[in-house]
Amino acid sequence: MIEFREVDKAFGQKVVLKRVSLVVEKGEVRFIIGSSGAGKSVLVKHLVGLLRPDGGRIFLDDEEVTELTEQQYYRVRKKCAMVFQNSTLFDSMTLVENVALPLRKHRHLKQKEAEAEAMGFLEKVQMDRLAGRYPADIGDGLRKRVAIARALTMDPEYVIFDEPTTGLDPLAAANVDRLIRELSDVFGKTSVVVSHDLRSIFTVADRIAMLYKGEVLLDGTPKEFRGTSNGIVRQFIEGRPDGPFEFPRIHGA
Amino acid sequence: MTRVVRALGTHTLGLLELLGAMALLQLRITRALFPPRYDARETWRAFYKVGVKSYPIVIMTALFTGAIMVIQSGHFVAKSGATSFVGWAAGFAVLAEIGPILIGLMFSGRVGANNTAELGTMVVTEQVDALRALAIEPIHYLAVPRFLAMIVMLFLLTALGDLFALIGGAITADLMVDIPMKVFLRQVFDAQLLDEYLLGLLKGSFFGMAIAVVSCHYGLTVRGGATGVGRAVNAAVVAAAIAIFVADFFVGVVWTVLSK
Amino acid sequence: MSSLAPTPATAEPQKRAKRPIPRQSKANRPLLYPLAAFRRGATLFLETLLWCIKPGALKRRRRQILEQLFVIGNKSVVFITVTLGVLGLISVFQVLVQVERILPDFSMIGPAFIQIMTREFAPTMAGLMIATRVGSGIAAEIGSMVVTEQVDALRMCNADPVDYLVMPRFVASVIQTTLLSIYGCVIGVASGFIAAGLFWNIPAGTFFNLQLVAYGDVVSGLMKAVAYGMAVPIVAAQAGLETSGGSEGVGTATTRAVVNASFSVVVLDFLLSGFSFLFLSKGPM
Repeated sequence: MIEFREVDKAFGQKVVLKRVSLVVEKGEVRFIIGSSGAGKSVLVKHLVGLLRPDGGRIFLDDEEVTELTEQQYYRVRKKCAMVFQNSTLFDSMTLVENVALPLRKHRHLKQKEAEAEAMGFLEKVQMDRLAGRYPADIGDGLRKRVAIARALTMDPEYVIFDEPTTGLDPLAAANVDRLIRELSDVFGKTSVVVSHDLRSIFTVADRIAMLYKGEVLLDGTPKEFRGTSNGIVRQFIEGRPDGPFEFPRIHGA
Repeated sequence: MTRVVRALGTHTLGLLELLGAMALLQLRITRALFPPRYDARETWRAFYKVGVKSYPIVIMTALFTGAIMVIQSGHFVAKSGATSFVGWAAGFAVLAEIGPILIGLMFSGRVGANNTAELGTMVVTEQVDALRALAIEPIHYLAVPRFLAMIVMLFLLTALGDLFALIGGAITADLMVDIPMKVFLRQVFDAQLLDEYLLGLLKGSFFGMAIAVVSCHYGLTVRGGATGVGRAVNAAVVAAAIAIFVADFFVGVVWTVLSK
Repeated sequence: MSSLAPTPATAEPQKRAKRPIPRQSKANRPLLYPLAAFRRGATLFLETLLWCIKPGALKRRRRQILEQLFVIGNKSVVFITVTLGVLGLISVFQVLVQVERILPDFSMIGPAFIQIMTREFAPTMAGLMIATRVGSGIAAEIGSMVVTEQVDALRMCNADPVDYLVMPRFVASVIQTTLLSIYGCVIGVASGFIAAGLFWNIPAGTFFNLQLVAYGDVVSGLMKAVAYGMAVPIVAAQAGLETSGGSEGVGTATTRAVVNASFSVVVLDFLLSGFSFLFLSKGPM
């Protein structure tokens, strides 16, 4: 179980998270939605310690992780894998080397063994045939699959997806969606998905939280979201340009 | 007046902060050196890249450096007629001072700048965050192999470059100063410059260390996208040049004081 | 344009996979690359010169030239003070430690040091520092204008990028490199005296003695300064104008500018030292 308790975060003058509280239950696919700049990515980066909160507390399986040092966080990160928005595969390595890296580092496997095992993970995401290619040679959707395979190597209990389908074509996005669903249904992982892809929200999510202006506006099941009377949420999930939704002001851009 | 003082204060503070950050990085790298559990592949890659990238330019530079030093000492000789002096003067200047400095500056422009660009790109494309998210320590995985590679490689390149500088010097002595190659090389050997050669090698290793820390620091602290990377590369080569001269000064002084 | 070219075998140690997209390959292309680059650089140099001697060109670009004069000077003064200061200190220190063993007489150290600073080290070290500091700046600036298509926009307005971007930097760099070399010489000699005076008590009168500095030395030093001042902006601008591959290419262009500009300083130093040795030092003084 993951729990954010009244987490605050500001970058300089710009307040991004205001007393955000959120619970993620084991085994579910938890979506965090909101428009760009609403603080979704910022929130999940707190969980793996890439960012630190200004206030509030964060719990992982009843252990408080808010005050851990960078060293101590490495243990947490083995439990919570993260799939970045841009996949962030290492440019200088082939796909199989990318996946083998955590195996080598954490299970102290030899390169050969690690790559053999990495092939198994690549098979799970149907990428084994391209294993020898470099990240620059393949498309975004395929890169995303490799990134998921790399995240799974550490056998994490939680997988965090930062905008997994943004920038993918519809078929690639559907593929990724199915992978996320399978992680939960077949492998029993818990997923936290940051997204604003309306289609995946309603096909994949078990529960959804919507961030708006740094606060949780609505927290519930897809059904509750469809039936909500909140004008802002309605406008967002229906994707209408006009309505009560106030777009975040752009700072410094 | 107050504005000047304030500007001076801000600059001093900024400089201190920068030095502090680099000292901290140096400390973290040093701590990560022990116990020696380096990532073999990344270390090999770093050695390979550092060496391969820089050796052609270093050797070319060394050849020219030797030639220039012979011409410059030839100037003095042309007037005094003391031809035996050329080997000593050129050899001394190349081995103890100019060789390591020029090789170091070239190495910094080639390898240091490249390293900053590479690490900087990894930072802005979140690859460094991805490493952290995979519970892999970036200092350990990225900085340590580069640190080792730069020290060892600049040491070796200085050792090799010095020899090429002497060859360049010998050719020039033969062609321009009318001292046969053999005579020039004999002069260099007779001048007993082993101490200077070792001093140069020591300098080279320290330059390698300085370039490594400076370039890693600027690379790992890049902010602001790809333009940030350009800015960081710029700042890194400048800082590395200053670091080379400062290291040159301290190594030179300590060496002379100790060897007196 | 380069995305189809094969990466040279040296770029990556791994053998398993062919990698069609070169990341930073332009700088270590096979042997022909330097020649072709040299030819393009020479063309750019001539083009710039033509723009300079066009009637009224300098006057028309006066504002940009003044601006660049300020930028270059502002960037380099502190840098050159530190580096040449340290170089002067350490050189005199090391030489005196050596000379102490051989000669009892230090009277020639100052004059000889001033001579070699004038002829060699002040312009060359200043040139190298300007290549690092200013060269990388020019490449980064022009490079980012190329990738953001500002250079193309200039062309659309019928403004030649060479005239508009390269020429002012070129003129300013020639002037500033000369001035900064003289300044660096003063700094180097002064800090050399600090070492000599502090550790060996050599009096200022003995140290600051210009008896060895001949006409040929001054000409040689100035010639070098002017040559570096010409070469650095051309080499750097060429790297900048040839930027490709989006904003990441700017970083590559910057590193290439530093190495190429520094190396061209070293080569010019060799050529001009040889020239002045053969033709300037043996004539009447």
